[in-house]
Amino acid sequence: MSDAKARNEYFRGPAPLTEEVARIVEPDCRSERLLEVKGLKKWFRSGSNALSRSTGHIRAVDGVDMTADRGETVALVGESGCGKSTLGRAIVRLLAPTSGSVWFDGDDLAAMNGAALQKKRRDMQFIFQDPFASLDPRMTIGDVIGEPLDIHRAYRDRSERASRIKEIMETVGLNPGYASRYAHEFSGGQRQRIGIARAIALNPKMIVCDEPVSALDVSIQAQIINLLKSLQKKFGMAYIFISHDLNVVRHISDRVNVMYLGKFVETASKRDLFEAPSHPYTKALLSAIPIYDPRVKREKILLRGDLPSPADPPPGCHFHTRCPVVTDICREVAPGTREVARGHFCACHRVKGE
Amino acid sequence: MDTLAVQGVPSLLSVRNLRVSFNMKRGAVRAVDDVSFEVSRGETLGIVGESGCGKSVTALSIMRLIAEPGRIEGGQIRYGGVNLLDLSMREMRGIRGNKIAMIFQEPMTSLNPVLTIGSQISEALRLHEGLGRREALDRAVEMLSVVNIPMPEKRAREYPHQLSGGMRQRVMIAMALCCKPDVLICDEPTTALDVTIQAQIISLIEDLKVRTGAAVIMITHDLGVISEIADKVIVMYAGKIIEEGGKTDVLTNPLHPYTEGLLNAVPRIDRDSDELSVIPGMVPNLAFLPEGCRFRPRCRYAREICRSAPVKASGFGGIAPRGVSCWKFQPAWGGEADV
Repeated sequence: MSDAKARNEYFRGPAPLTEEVARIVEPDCRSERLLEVKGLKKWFRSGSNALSRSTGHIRAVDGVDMTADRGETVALVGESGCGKSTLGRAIVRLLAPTSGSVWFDGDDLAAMNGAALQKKRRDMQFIFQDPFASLDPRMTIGDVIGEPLDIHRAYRDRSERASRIKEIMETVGLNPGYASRYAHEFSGGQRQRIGIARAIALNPKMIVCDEPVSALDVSIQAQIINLLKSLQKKFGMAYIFISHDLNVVRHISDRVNVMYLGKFVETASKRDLFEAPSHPYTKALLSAIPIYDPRVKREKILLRGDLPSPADPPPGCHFHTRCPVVTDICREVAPGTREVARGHFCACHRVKGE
Repeated sequence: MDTLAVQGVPSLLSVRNLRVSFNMKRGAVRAVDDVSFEVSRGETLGIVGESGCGKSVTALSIMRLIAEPGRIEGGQIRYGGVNLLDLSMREMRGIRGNKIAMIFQEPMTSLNPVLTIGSQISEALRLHEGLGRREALDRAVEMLSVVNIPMPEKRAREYPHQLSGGMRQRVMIAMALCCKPDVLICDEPTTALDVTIQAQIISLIEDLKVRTGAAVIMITHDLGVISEIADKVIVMYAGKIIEEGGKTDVLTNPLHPYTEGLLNAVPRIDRDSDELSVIPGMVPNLAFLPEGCRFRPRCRYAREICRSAPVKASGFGGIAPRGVSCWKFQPAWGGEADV
């Protein structure tokens, strides 16, 4: 058995939800790589209205390369407005990319449409940040969770549907007796469990989690993070984990992409990123995280100013306006991405490659 | 709890046995129950707790901003020799925003969208200090530069929507500080902001506190923020103070099982863990509080005795007075408490 296969089997665990097993182990998807994004761009037109022509573009995602393996958790971190949510949505085609390709499980999603895309959708799901806004208030929880099953006709009869819903609810720690209740009857943490239940209903290969715990209280956050981790162990799906909270990211991810104004500035394994960050922005970001132990003293790198507008990004390196180690070349030339160590990429003029 | 006064530092603001309730359909719900604390000049008090613990209601009570169906039932809020709860609304207006100022969590909703930044800051100056329009506007511009807003003259003529989140929060701080208040209450001032901006705002508040000697009350759910900025901390749960003490004491040696649980439930950059430990269940509904200790249904140490209300234990040494409301620290618990 190849290493890749062994690992996949390990992650899938012994008993996936149903006879979906047959589908997952199709011969053509045994490779490790699940997602490969190349040169992805998502621009929005800005300043256009009935009286004026478009004045420009907001380059929310501006040429991103990223990968995710099966069963891997890849984080996208950055401040608000950096484009991480747009990227997450463009990956699963909730937004149509402006250019670039998104290879997911052997197909280019960016080039797919209609029924083929719809079919592919069952393998990629999305968990939203706000558990209050993302659930239909007029649907029972059972129907919310059953909807993806309905869309993809993933059951033979009503009783199979009901038993699947019950099984999924138990998996995420919801009392199946609540299937006929409505979203408003649940607390924030429970609602996020409903969102997760819906996402895992079709046993997807990848889930994009967009800030899944930021709206929750600290004691509830831990419950949801543990749930996400245990589901991954059980079902082996990959997570694209979008978050601004580096404490959470460090806890849950295998690899981390740091994003700034539509571009990745650094990509590394979790360990490399947190122990040996190389991009000045990553360093500043890490130093800004409040540490819980007041006895630990560290040097803080305070960045000046705010994130510039993505409608009018600064020339050269996007980060140069706030960078503490800026030089002349940074103001004129955009830095290329270099591999600074094995699997550790950084886009900065001041960081030397291998 | 008058230890600080005993030590010779008179407290600037002291809250004693504050009780606030809200009249709901099902009857009165007490959001703040017997809360006491004090702050001195130049000191930062952190109030930490999850949503619904009463931390914001405590802050609003100090400002006398509790509106129907809420009601301050009892207690005292002593500032400058008077009990703020005895003042008329008119007298209170002379203190609010002038002597005691507050910064809110969401700067966008607390700023008036149809007034310029400059006129909003100068409003307080004209009201409290009787400055003329021109003079007040000049001071407003000066305040904007104090909070590190670039091009203050230009910004003063702009509207809130033209500013970024971090910048709006700076405007709020400028507005709160323009009358040089004695007490600055910050209600989750950085929760809506990114970490790099949060770091800027925290260092700004810290810096201004040192320069003006104001007392700061920092309300947050983020123990990391407390660790960065507070001198002493009170931890609230379901309307009650369950633990208090110096920042380092509370954060590194939590006594109450809830504080301990909170500190273990957060993933921490300074600590590795595979699985986060979890506080089971959730914060109780204030209308249906469990009998005895309010944390009992979620507490892993809970015993029969916890069905009656816990008594506060104090002592334990430390820089600031330390107290904890938990049966574990009472002789009645028996000898085998693993303190």
